[in-house]
Amino acid sequence: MRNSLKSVVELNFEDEQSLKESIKTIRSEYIKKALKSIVYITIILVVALSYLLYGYLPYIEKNFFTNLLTAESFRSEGNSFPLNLTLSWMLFSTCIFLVVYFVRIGQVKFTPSLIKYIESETKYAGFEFIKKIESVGLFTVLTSVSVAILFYIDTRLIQFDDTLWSIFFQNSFFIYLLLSLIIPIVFIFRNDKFAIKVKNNVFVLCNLHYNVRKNKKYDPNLLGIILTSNRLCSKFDKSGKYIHSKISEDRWLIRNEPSTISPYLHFEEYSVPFNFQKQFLNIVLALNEWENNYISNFDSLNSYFSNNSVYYKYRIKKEDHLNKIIYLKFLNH
Amino acid sequence: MSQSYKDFLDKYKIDDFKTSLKLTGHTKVDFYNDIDKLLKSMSTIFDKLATIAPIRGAHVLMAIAKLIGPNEVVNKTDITRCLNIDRLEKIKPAIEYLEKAKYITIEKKTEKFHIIKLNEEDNPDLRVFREIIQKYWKSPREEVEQAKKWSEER
Repeated sequence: MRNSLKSVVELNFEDEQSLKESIKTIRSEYIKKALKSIVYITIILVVALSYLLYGYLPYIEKNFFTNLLTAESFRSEGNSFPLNLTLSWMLFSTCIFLVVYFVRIGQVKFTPSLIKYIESETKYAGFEFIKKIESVGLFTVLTSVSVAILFYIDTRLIQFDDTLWSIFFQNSFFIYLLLSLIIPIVFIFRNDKFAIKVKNNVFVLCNLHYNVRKNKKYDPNLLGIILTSNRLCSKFDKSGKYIHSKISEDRWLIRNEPSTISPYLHFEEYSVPFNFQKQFLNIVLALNEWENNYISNFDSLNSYFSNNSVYYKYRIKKEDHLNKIIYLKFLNH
Repeated sequence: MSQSYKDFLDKYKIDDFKTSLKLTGHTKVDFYNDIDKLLKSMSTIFDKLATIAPIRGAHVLMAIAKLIGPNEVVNKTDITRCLNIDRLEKIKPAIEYLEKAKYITIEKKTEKFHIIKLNEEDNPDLRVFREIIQKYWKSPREEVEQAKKWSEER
């Protein structure tokens, strides 16, 4: 059913026919989204090249780039571009950032109707599905600072000479310029994610596993959503590792590590759209069990100094508690 | 005890007819706990197999088993509520399949009010299935309530 106001299709994964239609919708939406990204990237590149060719190239001197931040370039007369550095950097960094951003958007396979489906499933379970975009804000802040400083340099309010402090500032600023571009790009890949907020500092990340190529055979697992919890504790924390493996075992969670490089433990679950809510609840309740049973090393040290005994709740409390209940039930029979 | 049926038989020597089964005091509690653990594992297996299945049929069957009782009348709305599903249409294909396979019976009281029952007559195994589900299975509704309660803490 098509929602006429927002033109978002309501997906249905309850039987083979509906699943096929929904997959078709997602595929066409994804292709549209990828094409849009390509158009945006082309526009950005055209704007950048036009600026370079018509507005900028005639003024470039032979050794301009090497002397960009050196004292000589600021002293040189006859440059008819009063905001040379500011405009150039703004254009250069924005273009690079936006190109990477749109390439990433083109890669992410979440489409409007799929987002709407997951949103409504999550909302019905009482939680909120959010798209975390931290890179744009960070890029805006960092670039604003660099543009402000470059503006002062262009208008000669900041001038460089050959003193140690001046060279130090020049080099530091150059490093800052690089980092103000690199860090937001890293954030695009690492921090811009679809997540479900469970409670303060507890969230579940959603990644889509989906093969865009047309599959002729019916495959109910064609579209998968990988759910990953936030960081639990370090991989080297023995008690944490024990509790993590016990909970994962009891709840049949995926035992693969999300990343071999990551030094942290996470819970991971795999779902297809029809069982999304059930699998999501499984990982949420696993997080609940984790919070109830894990004491961080720092807390256990505190506990050691206050009680003179290190203990882990999971081993002692849970088993005892269960036995008591079963024993009481047994007596009541 | 490991969660194995074979270990359970070995532990109490149930398949050894020379030894008589003596259950007294703590042994009785252990015996009960061990059976309880086995049945709980079976309930988990049902639940996990239901999430692997491509349609919602298994979960609908579990919801019916959970809700059904001597004085309980189960309809489609009760099932959606138990499974925490927003729309009735989502369980329609599963209900149709289960009826066709004769796992459930549907008594049409009015055009909109249908009473759904497990077909234990044709499928006697469903009786033990119902007993396990009613005792051990946590329905999605119950899980949502637990998760919500925890999320609202602090």
